Amino acid sequence: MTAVEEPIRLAGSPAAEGPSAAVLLDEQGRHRAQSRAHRRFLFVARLASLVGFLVVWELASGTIVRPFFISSPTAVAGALVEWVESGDLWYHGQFTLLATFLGYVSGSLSAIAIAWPLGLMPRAYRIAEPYFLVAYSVPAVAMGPVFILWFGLGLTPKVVLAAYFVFFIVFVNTVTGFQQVPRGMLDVTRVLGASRVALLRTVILPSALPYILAALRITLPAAMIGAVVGEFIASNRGLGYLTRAAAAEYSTAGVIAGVVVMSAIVLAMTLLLRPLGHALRWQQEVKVNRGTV
Amino acid sequence: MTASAAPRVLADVGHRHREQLRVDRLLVLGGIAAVGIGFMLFWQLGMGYIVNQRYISTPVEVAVSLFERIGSGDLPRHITATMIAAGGGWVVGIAVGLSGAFLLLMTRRGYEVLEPFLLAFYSIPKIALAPLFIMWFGLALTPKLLLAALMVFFIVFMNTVAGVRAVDRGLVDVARVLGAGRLALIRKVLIPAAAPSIMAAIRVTFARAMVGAILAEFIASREGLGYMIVRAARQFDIATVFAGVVVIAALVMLVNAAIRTVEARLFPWASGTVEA
Repeated sequence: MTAVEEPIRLAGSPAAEGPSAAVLLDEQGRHRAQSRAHRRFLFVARLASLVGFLVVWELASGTIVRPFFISSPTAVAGALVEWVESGDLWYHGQFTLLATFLGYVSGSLSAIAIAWPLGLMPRAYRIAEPYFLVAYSVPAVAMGPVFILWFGLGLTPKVVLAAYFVFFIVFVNTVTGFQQVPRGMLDVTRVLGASRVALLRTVILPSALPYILAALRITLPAAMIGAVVGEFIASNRGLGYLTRAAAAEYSTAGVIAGVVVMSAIVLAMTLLLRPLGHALRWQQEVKVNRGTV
Repeated sequence: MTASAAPRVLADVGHRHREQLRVDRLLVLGGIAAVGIGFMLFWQLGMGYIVNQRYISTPVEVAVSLFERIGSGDLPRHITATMIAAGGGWVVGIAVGLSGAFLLLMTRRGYEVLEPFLLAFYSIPKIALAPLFIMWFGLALTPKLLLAALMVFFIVFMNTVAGVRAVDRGLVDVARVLGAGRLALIRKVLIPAAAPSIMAAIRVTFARAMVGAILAEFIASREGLGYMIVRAARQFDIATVFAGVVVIAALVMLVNAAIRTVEARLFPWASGTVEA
């Protein structure tokens, strides 16, 4: 071990003289150049495959495959531009985003509110567990028609469905988080005379929080999928409606444009919430239960 | 004195501990039963006073609807249709996901180059493709099966790639030094090492296949549990809607239990968790 550590220290200190330091610096420079070349290669290769994909798609459309099936990049872009210009995109997008946001907040808050006490009362949790497992294995999608029947065609069923998509994932992970609290640490803190509040603040929350945050990070896209499913099944506005209306007119470009918009939103959400995963540096990665959305 | 007392004390403590565990288990089981029965009774008798009975039906009505539909052969037909679409899509998705992942991993830099695109494809809400598939393939089995397969494909694909990429470099190097070719490397090192994450992906994806099939049936189809639920919802037959939901949950749980049993028999070492 020391044989490896020694030269690195030498190379790092400016006072270091002698061949070993020079060789190492040289090696370092070569490594850096290599990784720069590698990055350039990756960039070019990625760009090439993206352009190649779009060109093949454009050329194949209308020659090898009928445009009805795959449309073409220009037609999809055209549909997007049309939506932007007519204001359709914003009009429908706002309902989907609103339902997503409301569903996300209400779903995760209620999940945490229920999971918190259950996670701290093992016996109560063991009583409730089988029922939550049964409810958990109902695909959230299947509840779509039920909520529409209950709450009509407006915003409410989409919010509820989005919340339902979020609820179980946050619930399961919050309970897991509370159960992961190391028993030994709990006991020691108690023996040292910590009050309930101090216990919660110094031991329980720090070890449960990574699970909760991880669940919150992955469920925002789930909330949007819930809202879109609600719009698919029955509605007269929203991105799901827009996509389905395009399908009803056999406009392939419109459907693909709708899918592109939704994917872009999901991607943006994922990137936006990524810092949440790194917020807690004291914990290593947690295994998060993603459910079946 | 101590020599003879110690075992007795220990036995006593052990006995008391077992007694405590028994009481605890009884309490939990009793609690589970009480919650279940209480909920059913409340749903049957009390909920009608809070909300309109038409919206929530009753457990008895749901059971009646369930048995009527089993008797008429209606339900078995819908179950078969959904299970064929979900099961077929599941198998297709697993096969394509596995072979796609290994094909990509055979290339030296393929994964690195394609990584951003895979992530982009991964963020496509697969459910959003349902209208497209129905437009392409009509109302029969194909769009349902394909949507189920697509729901499965990415999870299996990503988990296989992640599992293989997480294989210990040392194992790969040693196998190479010992003269293993590509196929031998895949068969003897990569697959066994990645087996836990692959198996986990296969296990969790059946429920997703069901979601895909049911959603396609919601949007447009002529048979299947999703179709039965949507049609009942349009007729305001909430008992049948709940019966359908109950059947779906039961199917998902049954298949999951079956997969777990098979998995435990075949790969007792591979009980990993999934990184979906």
